[in-house]
Amino acid sequence: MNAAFALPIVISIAITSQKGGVGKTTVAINLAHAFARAGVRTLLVDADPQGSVGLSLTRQSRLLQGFYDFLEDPGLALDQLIVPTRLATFSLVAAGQGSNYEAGGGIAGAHLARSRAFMRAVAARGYEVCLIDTAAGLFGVTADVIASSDAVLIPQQSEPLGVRSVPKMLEGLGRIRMLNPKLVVLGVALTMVQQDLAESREAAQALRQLLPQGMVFQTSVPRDGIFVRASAKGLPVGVMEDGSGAQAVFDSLRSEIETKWQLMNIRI
Amino acid sequence: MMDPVHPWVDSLEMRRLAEALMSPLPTSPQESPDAGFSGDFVGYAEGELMPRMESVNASAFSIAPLPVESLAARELPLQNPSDTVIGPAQGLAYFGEWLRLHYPTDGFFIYDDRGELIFDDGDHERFHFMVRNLALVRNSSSNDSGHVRLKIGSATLLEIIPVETMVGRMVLGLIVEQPLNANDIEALSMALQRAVAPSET
Repeated sequence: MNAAFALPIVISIAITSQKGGVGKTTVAINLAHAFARAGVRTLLVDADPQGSVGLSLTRQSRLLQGFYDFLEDPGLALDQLIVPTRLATFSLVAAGQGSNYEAGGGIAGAHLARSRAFMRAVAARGYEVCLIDTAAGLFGVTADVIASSDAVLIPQQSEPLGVRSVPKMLEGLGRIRMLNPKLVVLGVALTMVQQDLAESREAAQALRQLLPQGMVFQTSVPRDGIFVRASAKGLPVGVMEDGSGAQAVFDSLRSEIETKWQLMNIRI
Repeated sequence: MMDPVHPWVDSLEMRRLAEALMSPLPTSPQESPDAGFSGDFVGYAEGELMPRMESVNASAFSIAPLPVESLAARELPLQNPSDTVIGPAQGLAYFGEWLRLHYPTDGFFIYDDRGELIFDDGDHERFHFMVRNLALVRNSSSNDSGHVRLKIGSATLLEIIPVETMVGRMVLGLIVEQPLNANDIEALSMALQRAVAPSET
Protein backbone atom coordinates (compact mmCIF):
# COMPACT_ATOMS: atom_id res chain seq x y z
CA MET A 1 0.00 0.00 0.00
CA ASN A 2 1.21 3.50 -0.73
CA ALA A 3 2.49 4.93 2.54
CA ALA A 4 0.99 8.30 1.73
CA PHE A 5 -2.48 6.79 2.03
CA ALA A 6 -1.78 4.83 5.19
CA LEU A 7 -0.70 7.44 7.68
CA PRO A 8 -1.22 6.27 11.23
CA ILE A 9 -3.51 8.34 13.39
CA VAL A 10 -1.61 10.47 15.86
CA ILE A 11 -3.20 12.45 18.63
CA SER A 12 -1.36 15.67 19.33
CA ILE A 13 -2.01 17.20 22.73
CA ALA A 14 -0.74 20.66 23.65
CA ILE A 15 -0.05 21.03 27.37
CA THR A 16 -0.72 24.67 27.98
CA SER A 17 -1.76 27.26 30.54
CA GLN A 18 -2.32 30.97 30.87
CA LYS A 19 -0.11 31.23 33.91
CA GLY A 20 3.46 30.04 34.34
CA GLY A 21 4.73 27.75 37.08
CA VAL A 22 1.67 25.52 37.18
CA GLY A 23 3.50 22.27 36.49
CA LYS A 24 3.14 22.01 32.72
CA THR A 25 6.52 20.43 32.22
CA THR A 26 6.03 17.97 35.08
CA VAL A 27 2.71 16.92 33.59
CA ALA A 28 4.13 16.73 30.06
CA ILE A 29 7.14 14.60 30.99
CA ASN A 30 5.35 12.20 33.27
CA LEU A 31 2.23 11.87 31.17
CA ALA A 32 4.37 11.15 28.12
CA HIS A 33 6.23 8.53 30.12
CA ALA A 34 2.92 7.02 31.20
CA PHE A 35 1.79 6.68 27.58
CA ALA A 36 5.14 5.23 26.53
CA ARG A 37 5.13 2.73 29.42
CA ALA A 38 1.75 1.55 28.21
CA GLY A 39 3.28 0.72 24.84
CA VAL A 40 2.02 3.81 23.01
CA ARG A 41 4.57 5.28 20.58
CA THR A 42 5.01 8.68 22.18
CA LEU A 43 6.82 11.86 21.17
CA LEU A 44 7.37 14.58 23.75
CA VAL A 45 8.05 17.96 22.16
CA ASP A 46 9.53 20.90 24.01
CA ALA A 47 7.86 24.01 22.59
CA ASP A 48 8.73 26.12 25.62
CA PRO A 49 11.53 28.59 24.85
CA GLN A 50 12.87 27.93 28.33
CA GLY A 51 13.61 24.40 27.18
CA SER A 52 12.37 22.87 30.40
CA VAL A 53 11.78 19.38 29.05
CA GLY A 54 15.26 19.23 27.58
CA LEU A 55 16.81 20.65 30.72
CA SER A 56 14.97 18.06 32.76
CA LEU A 57 15.75 15.01 30.67
CA THR A 58 18.92 15.57 28.64
CA ARG A 59 22.18 17.10 29.74
CA GLN A 60 23.10 18.30 26.26
CA SER A 61 19.74 19.92 25.51
CA ARG A 62 21.28 23.33 24.79
CA LEU A 63 23.28 21.77 21.96
CA LEU A 64 20.42 19.96 20.30
CA GLN A 65 18.48 21.21 17.33
CA GLY A 66 14.80 21.17 18.05
CA PHE A 67 11.32 22.47 17.56
CA TYR A 68 12.24 26.13 17.13
CA ASP A 69 14.83 25.21 14.49
CA PHE A 70 12.14 23.29 12.62
CA LEU A 71 9.91 26.36 12.67
CA GLU A 72 12.63 28.51 11.16
CA ASP A 73 14.24 26.14 8.68
CA PRO A 74 12.00 24.56 6.03
CA GLY A 75 14.88 22.30 5.07
CA LEU A 76 15.05 20.63 8.46
CA ALA A 77 13.39 17.21 8.78
CA LEU A 78 11.80 15.82 11.92
CA ASP A 79 14.16 12.83 11.84
CA GLN A 80 17.07 15.18 12.49
CA LEU A 81 15.50 16.35 15.73
CA ILE A 82 14.35 13.16 17.42
CA VAL A 83 16.20 12.12 20.56
CA PRO A 84 15.55 8.49 21.52
CA THR A 85 15.36 7.37 25.15
CA ARG A 86 16.02 4.05 26.85
CA LEU A 87 12.34 3.30 26.44
CA ALA A 88 11.80 2.30 22.82
CA THR A 89 8.36 3.88 22.68
CA PHE A 90 9.48 7.22 24.12
CA SER A 91 11.28 9.91 22.09
CA LEU A 92 11.91 13.61 22.59
CA VAL A 93 12.29 16.73 20.51
CA ALA A 94 14.18 19.49 22.34
CA ALA A 95 13.31 23.18 22.08
CA GLY A 96 16.36 23.88 19.94
CA GLN A 97 18.59 26.73 18.96
CA GLY A 98 16.42 28.87 16.66
CA SER A 99 16.51 32.62 17.01
CA ASN A 100 12.99 32.55 18.38
CA TYR A 101 14.22 30.23 21.08
CA GLU A 102 14.69 32.88 23.74
CA ALA A 103 12.17 35.39 22.46
CA GLY A 104 9.19 33.09 22.65
CA GLY A 105 8.37 33.04 18.97
CA GLY A 106 6.87 36.44 18.22
CA ILE A 107 3.31 37.03 17.07
CA ALA A 108 0.68 34.35 16.66
CA GLY A 109 0.24 33.05 13.14
CA ALA A 110 3.84 33.60 12.10
CA HIS A 111 4.66 29.91 12.53
CA LEU A 112 1.30 28.30 11.99
CA ALA A 113 2.18 26.65 8.68
CA ARG A 114 5.45 25.19 9.97
CA SER A 115 3.79 24.09 13.17
CA ARG A 116 1.18 22.21 11.14
CA ALA A 117 3.94 20.77 8.96
CA PHE A 118 5.59 19.52 12.13
CA MET A 119 2.41 17.71 13.18
CA ARG A 120 2.11 16.12 9.75
CA ALA A 121 5.69 14.92 9.99
CA VAL A 122 4.98 13.43 13.42
CA ALA A 123 2.03 11.51 11.98
CA ALA A 124 4.10 10.29 9.05
CA ARG A 125 6.81 9.10 11.45
CA GLY A 126 4.37 6.66 13.04
CA TYR A 127 3.86 8.16 16.48
CA GLU A 128 0.55 7.55 18.20
CA VAL A 129 0.65 10.34 20.77
CA CYS A 130 2.51 13.63 20.56
CA LEU A 131 2.59 15.74 23.72
CA ILE A 132 3.76 19.31 23.32
CA ASP A 133 4.95 21.25 26.34
CA THR A 134 4.26 24.90 25.51
CA ALA A 135 5.30 28.19 27.01
CA ALA A 136 2.82 29.89 29.35
CA GLY A 137 0.35 32.33 27.78
CA LEU A 138 -1.84 31.82 24.75
CA PHE A 139 0.08 33.86 22.20
CA GLY A 140 3.02 33.58 19.80
CA VAL A 141 4.27 30.10 19.04
CA THR A 142 2.08 28.65 21.78
CA ALA A 143 -1.04 29.86 19.98
CA ASP A 144 0.26 28.37 16.73
CA VAL A 145 0.98 25.05 18.42
CA ILE A 146 -2.52 24.89 19.88
CA ALA A 147 -3.99 25.87 16.53
CA SER A 148 -2.11 22.91 15.03
CA SER A 149 -2.96 20.33 17.69
CA ASP A 150 -5.86 17.91 18.04
CA ALA A 151 -6.38 18.61 21.70
CA VAL A 152 -5.34 20.74 24.60
CA LEU A 153 -4.81 19.81 28.23
CA ILE A 154 -4.62 22.56 30.83
CA PRO A 155 -2.65 22.01 34.03
CA GLN A 156 -3.99 24.35 36.68
CA GLN A 157 -2.29 25.01 39.97
CA SER A 158 -4.65 24.38 42.85
CA GLU A 159 -4.42 27.75 44.53
CA PRO A 160 -6.71 30.80 44.49
CA LEU A 161 -4.62 33.04 42.24
CA GLY A 162 -4.38 30.29 39.64
CA VAL A 163 -8.12 29.77 39.58
CA ARG A 164 -8.70 33.48 39.08
CA SER A 165 -6.69 33.30 35.85
CA VAL A 166 -8.98 30.64 34.40
CA PRO A 167 -11.51 32.98 32.68
CA LYS A 168 -8.70 34.63 30.72
CA MET A 169 -7.43 31.24 29.68
CA LEU A 170 -10.89 30.15 28.54
CA GLU A 171 -11.24 33.33 26.47
CA GLY A 172 -7.85 32.75 24.88
CA LEU A 173 -8.66 29.17 24.00
CA GLY A 174 -11.95 30.31 22.51
CA ARG A 175 -10.08 32.66 20.18
CA ILE A 176 -7.59 30.02 19.11
CA ARG A 177 -10.40 27.58 18.50
CA MET A 178 -11.62 29.85 15.73
CA LEU A 179 -8.44 28.95 13.89
CA ASN A 180 -8.74 25.29 14.78
CA PRO A 181 -12.44 24.41 15.10
CA LYS A 182 -11.62 20.73 15.61
CA LEU A 183 -9.60 21.43 18.74
CA VAL A 184 -10.75 19.19 21.58
CA VAL A 185 -10.45 20.67 25.07
CA LEU A 186 -9.57 17.57 27.08
CA GLY A 187 -9.88 19.49 30.28
CA VAL A 188 -8.18 20.97 33.29
CA ALA A 189 -5.79 18.89 35.38
CA LEU A 190 -5.36 20.19 38.90
CA THR A 191 -1.71 20.31 39.93
CA MET A 192 0.27 21.03 43.09
CA VAL A 193 -2.71 20.02 45.17
CA GLN A 194 -1.98 20.23 48.90
CA GLN A 195 -4.58 18.34 50.85
CA ASP A 196 -3.16 19.66 54.11
CA LEU A 197 -3.74 23.28 53.07
CA ALA A 198 -7.29 24.62 53.24
CA GLU A 199 -6.75 27.23 50.48
CA SER A 200 -5.48 24.59 48.10
CA ARG A 201 -8.39 22.25 48.82
CA GLU A 202 -10.90 25.08 48.45
CA ALA A 203 -9.40 26.26 45.18
CA ALA A 204 -9.69 22.74 43.76
CA GLN A 205 -13.25 22.48 44.98
CA ALA A 206 -14.16 25.89 43.56
CA LEU A 207 -12.81 25.02 40.14
CA ARG A 208 -14.78 21.79 40.04
CA GLN A 209 -17.93 23.77 40.94
CA LEU A 210 -17.32 26.60 38.50
CA LEU A 211 -16.49 24.54 35.42
CA PRO A 212 -18.88 22.17 33.66
CA GLN A 213 -18.96 18.60 34.81
CA GLY A 214 -16.28 16.57 33.08
CA MET A 215 -14.06 19.53 32.29
CA VAL A 216 -11.86 18.98 35.33
CA PHE A 217 -10.03 15.65 35.42
CA GLN A 218 -10.81 13.43 38.38
CA THR A 219 -7.11 12.75 38.71
CA SER A 220 -5.17 15.52 40.39
CA VAL A 221 -1.42 15.86 40.78
CA PRO A 222 -0.25 16.44 44.34
CA ARG A 223 2.57 18.76 45.35
CA ASP A 224 5.32 16.30 46.18
CA GLY A 225 9.05 16.49 46.62
CA ILE A 226 9.52 13.50 44.37
CA PHE A 227 8.95 15.71 41.32
CA VAL A 228 11.81 17.96 42.35
CA ARG A 229 14.06 14.97 43.01
CA ALA A 230 13.13 13.35 39.68
CA SER A 231 13.84 16.58 37.83
CA ALA A 232 17.22 16.89 39.55
CA LYS A 233 18.16 13.44 38.29
CA GLY A 234 16.76 14.05 34.81
CA LEU A 235 14.16 11.29 35.12
CA PRO A 236 10.42 10.84 34.93
CA VAL A 237 9.04 10.01 38.40
CA GLY A 238 8.08 6.55 37.24
CA VAL A 239 11.69 5.41 37.08
CA MET A 240 12.55 6.72 40.54
CA GLU A 241 12.93 4.05 43.21
CA ASP A 242 10.06 5.43 45.25
CA GLY A 243 8.12 6.74 42.26
CA SER A 244 5.41 4.14 41.90
CA GLY A 245 2.81 6.25 43.74
CA ALA A 246 3.45 9.32 41.62
CA GLN A 247 3.51 7.19 38.49
CA ALA A 248 0.09 5.82 39.39
CA VAL A 249 -1.24 9.38 39.28
CA PHE A 250 -0.09 9.81 35.70
CA ASP A 251 -1.28 6.35 34.69
CA SER A 252 -4.68 7.41 35.97
CA LEU A 253 -4.52 10.70 34.02
CA ARG A 254 -3.54 8.80 30.88
CA SER A 255 -6.46 6.46 31.35
CA GLU A 256 -8.87 9.39 31.75
CA ILE A 257 -7.52 11.01 28.58
CA GLU A 258 -7.94 7.81 26.59
CA THR A 259 -11.51 7.47 27.79
CA LYS A 260 -12.31 11.11 27.05
CA TRP A 261 -10.75 10.88 23.63
CA GLN A 262 -12.78 7.86 22.70
CA LEU A 263 -15.99 9.52 23.88
CA MET A 264 -15.24 12.83 22.19
CA ASN A 265 -14.06 11.23 19.01
CA ILE A 266 -17.40 9.58 18.59
CA ARG A 267 -19.11 12.95 18.96
CA ILE A 268 -16.81 14.83 16.60
CA MET B 1 -13.72 32.58 56.35
CA MET B 2 -13.48 34.61 53.15
CA ASP B 3 -14.05 32.69 49.94
CA PRO B 4 -10.70 32.91 48.08
CA VAL B 5 -12.11 32.33 44.59
CA HIS B 6 -15.76 33.13 43.98
CA PRO B 7 -15.65 36.90 44.72
CA TRP B 8 -12.88 37.23 42.13
CA VAL B 9 -14.55 35.57 39.16
CA ASP B 10 -17.80 35.98 37.29
CA SER B 11 -19.12 32.46 37.78
CA LEU B 12 -21.76 32.65 35.07
CA GLU B 13 -19.38 34.10 32.51
CA MET B 14 -16.76 31.51 33.37
CA ARG B 15 -19.29 28.71 32.98
CA ARG B 16 -20.46 30.15 29.66
CA LEU B 17 -16.91 30.33 28.31
CA ALA B 18 -16.14 26.81 29.47
CA GLU B 19 -19.32 25.32 28.03
CA ALA B 20 -18.66 27.04 24.71
CA LEU B 21 -15.25 25.40 24.61
CA MET B 22 -16.69 21.98 25.27
CA SER B 23 -19.30 22.33 22.53
CA PRO B 24 -18.69 21.82 18.81
CA LEU B 25 -18.36 25.07 16.89
CA PRO B 26 -21.33 25.94 14.67
CA THR B 27 -20.62 25.50 11.01
CA SER B 28 -22.00 27.70 8.27
CA PRO B 29 -24.93 26.23 6.34
CA GLN B 30 -24.27 24.33 3.14
CA GLU B 31 -24.38 26.50 0.09
CA SER B 32 -26.23 25.69 -3.07
CA PRO B 33 -24.27 23.31 -5.28
CA ASP B 34 -25.67 25.00 -8.35
CA ALA B 35 -23.04 27.02 -10.19
CA GLY B 36 -23.00 28.80 -13.49
CA PHE B 37 -20.03 30.06 -15.43
CA SER B 38 -20.26 33.33 -17.29
CA GLY B 39 -18.66 34.16 -20.59
CA ASP B 40 -15.79 35.64 -18.62
CA PHE B 41 -14.51 32.20 -17.79
CA VAL B 42 -11.21 31.66 -19.56
CA GLY B 43 -10.28 28.34 -18.04
CA TYR B 44 -8.40 26.70 -15.24
CA ALA B 45 -4.72 27.38 -14.99
CA GLU B 46 -2.49 24.58 -16.13
CA GLY B 47 -0.67 22.57 -13.54
CA GLU B 48 -1.68 21.60 -10.05
CA LEU B 49 -4.39 23.58 -8.34
CA MET B 50 -3.04 22.91 -4.88
CA PRO B 51 0.58 23.95 -4.48
CA ARG B 52 2.90 21.62 -2.61
CA MET B 53 2.83 22.16 1.15
CA GLU B 54 6.60 21.79 1.30
CA SER B 55 7.25 24.88 -0.82
CA VAL B 56 7.44 27.22 2.14
CA ASN B 57 7.67 30.91 1.51
CA ALA B 58 8.90 32.07 4.87
CA SER B 59 8.44 35.74 4.07
CA ALA B 60 4.75 35.19 3.53
CA PHE B 61 4.41 34.38 7.21
CA SER B 62 5.90 37.56 8.55
CA ILE B 63 2.41 38.77 9.24
CA ALA B 64 2.41 42.18 10.77
CA PRO B 65 -0.10 42.67 13.59
CA LEU B 66 -3.29 43.97 12.10
CA PRO B 67 -4.96 46.92 13.76
CA VAL B 68 -8.46 45.56 13.88
CA GLU B 69 -11.61 47.59 14.41
CA SER B 70 -14.92 46.18 15.47
CA LEU B 71 -17.18 44.81 12.76
CA ALA B 72 -20.75 44.10 13.66
CA ALA B 73 -21.70 40.66 12.45
CA ARG B 74 -23.56 40.70 9.14
CA GLU B 75 -23.22 44.47 8.86
CA LEU B 76 -21.10 44.83 5.79
CA PRO B 77 -23.24 47.08 3.60
CA LEU B 78 -21.84 48.44 0.39
CA GLN B 79 -22.26 52.16 0.92
CA ASN B 80 -20.92 53.26 -2.41
CA PRO B 81 -20.06 50.76 -5.15
CA SER B 82 -17.14 52.86 -6.30
CA ASP B 83 -15.56 53.26 -2.88
CA THR B 84 -12.68 51.15 -1.77
CA VAL B 85 -13.69 51.30 1.87
CA ILE B 86 -17.10 50.04 2.79
CA GLY B 87 -19.00 51.75 5.55
CA PRO B 88 -18.11 50.43 8.99
CA ALA B 89 -15.99 47.65 7.58
CA GLN B 90 -12.78 49.27 8.68
CA GLY B 91 -11.26 45.87 9.23
CA LEU B 92 -11.50 45.15 5.51
CA ALA B 93 -9.72 48.40 4.75
CA TYR B 94 -6.92 47.42 7.07
CA PHE B 95 -6.78 44.02 5.45
CA GLY B 96 -6.53 45.70 2.05
CA GLU B 97 -3.60 47.81 3.22
CA TRP B 98 -1.89 44.78 4.64
CA LEU B 99 -2.47 42.76 1.48
CA ARG B 100 -1.09 45.47 -0.82
CA LEU B 101 1.94 45.75 1.43
CA HIS B 102 2.74 42.05 1.44
CA TYR B 103 1.59 40.70 -1.93
CA PRO B 104 2.10 41.99 -5.45
CA THR B 105 -1.41 42.11 -6.84
CA ASP B 106 -3.23 43.71 -9.72
CA GLY B 107 -6.40 43.91 -7.68
CA PHE B 108 -8.67 42.09 -5.30
CA PHE B 109 -12.25 41.94 -4.13
CA ILE B 110 -14.28 40.20 -1.44
CA TYR B 111 -17.76 38.66 -1.31
CA ASP B 112 -19.74 37.76 1.75
CA ASP B 113 -21.61 34.49 2.27
CA ARG B 114 -24.75 35.86 0.63
CA GLY B 115 -22.88 36.42 -2.59
CA GLU B 116 -22.77 40.20 -2.14
CA LEU B 117 -19.75 42.28 -3.02
CA ILE B 118 -18.40 43.89 0.14
CA PHE B 119 -15.04 45.15 -1.06
CA ASP B 120 -13.48 45.99 -4.41
CA ASP B 121 -10.24 47.91 -4.78
CA GLY B 122 -10.84 48.62 -8.42
CA ASP B 123 -13.05 47.88 -11.39
CA HIS B 124 -13.32 44.13 -11.52
CA GLU B 125 -16.95 43.79 -12.45
CA ARG B 126 -16.23 41.40 -15.28
CA PHE B 127 -15.09 38.80 -12.76
CA HIS B 128 -17.81 39.23 -10.21
CA PHE B 129 -20.49 36.95 -11.64
CA MET B 130 -18.03 34.16 -12.17
CA VAL B 131 -16.45 34.47 -8.76
CA ARG B 132 -19.78 34.70 -6.99
CA ASN B 133 -20.98 31.52 -8.59
CA LEU B 134 -17.78 29.69 -7.94
CA ALA B 135 -17.82 30.91 -4.38
CA LEU B 136 -21.26 29.49 -3.76
CA VAL B 137 -20.03 26.00 -4.45
CA ARG B 138 -18.43 24.57 -1.36
CA ASN B 139 -15.48 22.36 -2.08
CA SER B 140 -15.97 22.65 -5.81
CA SER B 141 -12.28 22.22 -6.43
CA SER B 142 -10.15 19.17 -5.93
CA ASN B 143 -8.67 20.41 -2.68
CA ASP B 144 -10.25 20.72 0.76
CA SER B 145 -9.83 24.45 1.09
CA GLY B 146 -12.09 25.27 -1.84
CA HIS B 147 -9.33 27.33 -3.38
CA VAL B 148 -9.64 27.72 -7.15
CA ARG B 149 -7.16 29.24 -9.58
CA LEU B 150 -8.25 30.56 -12.95
CA LYS B 151 -6.13 31.74 -15.83
CA ILE B 152 -7.67 35.03 -16.91
CA GLY B 153 -4.98 36.33 -19.21
CA SER B 154 -1.72 35.33 -20.85
CA ALA B 155 0.19 36.22 -17.70
CA THR B 156 -2.56 36.80 -15.18
CA LEU B 157 -4.22 34.49 -12.70
CA LEU B 158 -7.28 34.90 -10.54
CA GLU B 159 -7.00 33.19 -7.17
CA ILE B 160 -10.35 32.53 -5.50
CA ILE B 161 -10.00 31.78 -1.81
CA PRO B 162 -12.98 30.95 0.41
CA VAL B 163 -12.35 32.02 4.01
CA GLU B 164 -14.44 31.01 7.03
CA THR B 165 -14.55 34.05 9.31
CA MET B 166 -16.34 34.86 12.54
CA VAL B 167 -18.87 36.91 10.59
CA GLY B 168 -19.50 34.20 8.02
CA ARG B 169 -17.96 32.76 4.93
CA MET B 170 -16.14 35.25 2.69
CA VAL B 171 -14.56 34.79 -0.70
CA LEU B 172 -11.41 36.63 -1.62
CA GLY B 173 -10.64 37.14 -5.30
CA LEU B 174 -7.05 38.10 -5.97
CA ILE B 175 -5.50 38.95 -9.36
CA VAL B 176 -1.85 37.98 -9.50
CA GLU B 177 0.89 37.23 -11.99
CA GLN B 178 2.50 34.46 -9.96
CA PRO B 179 0.47 31.66 -8.40
CA LEU B 180 0.09 31.71 -4.64
CA ASN B 181 1.39 28.74 -2.71
CA ALA B 182 -0.40 27.00 0.12
CA ASN B 183 1.35 29.07 2.75
CA ASP B 184 0.36 32.31 1.03
CA ILE B 185 -3.23 31.18 0.97
CA GLU B 186 -3.17 30.25 4.63
CA ALA B 187 -1.59 33.57 5.57
CA LEU B 188 -4.16 35.54 3.56
CA SER B 189 -7.01 33.56 5.08
CA MET B 190 -5.75 34.15 8.60
CA ALA B 191 -5.26 37.85 8.00
CA LEU B 192 -8.78 38.23 6.66
CA GLN B 193 -10.18 36.25 9.60
CA ARG B 194 -8.40 38.53 12.05
CA ALA B 195 -9.37 41.69 10.22
CA VAL B 196 -13.09 41.01 10.41
CA ALA B 197 -13.16 39.38 13.83
CA PRO B 198 -15.18 41.46 16.27
CA SER B 199 -12.81 43.24 18.61
CA GLU B 200 -12.89 42.41 22.29
CA THR B 201 -14.01 44.90 24.82
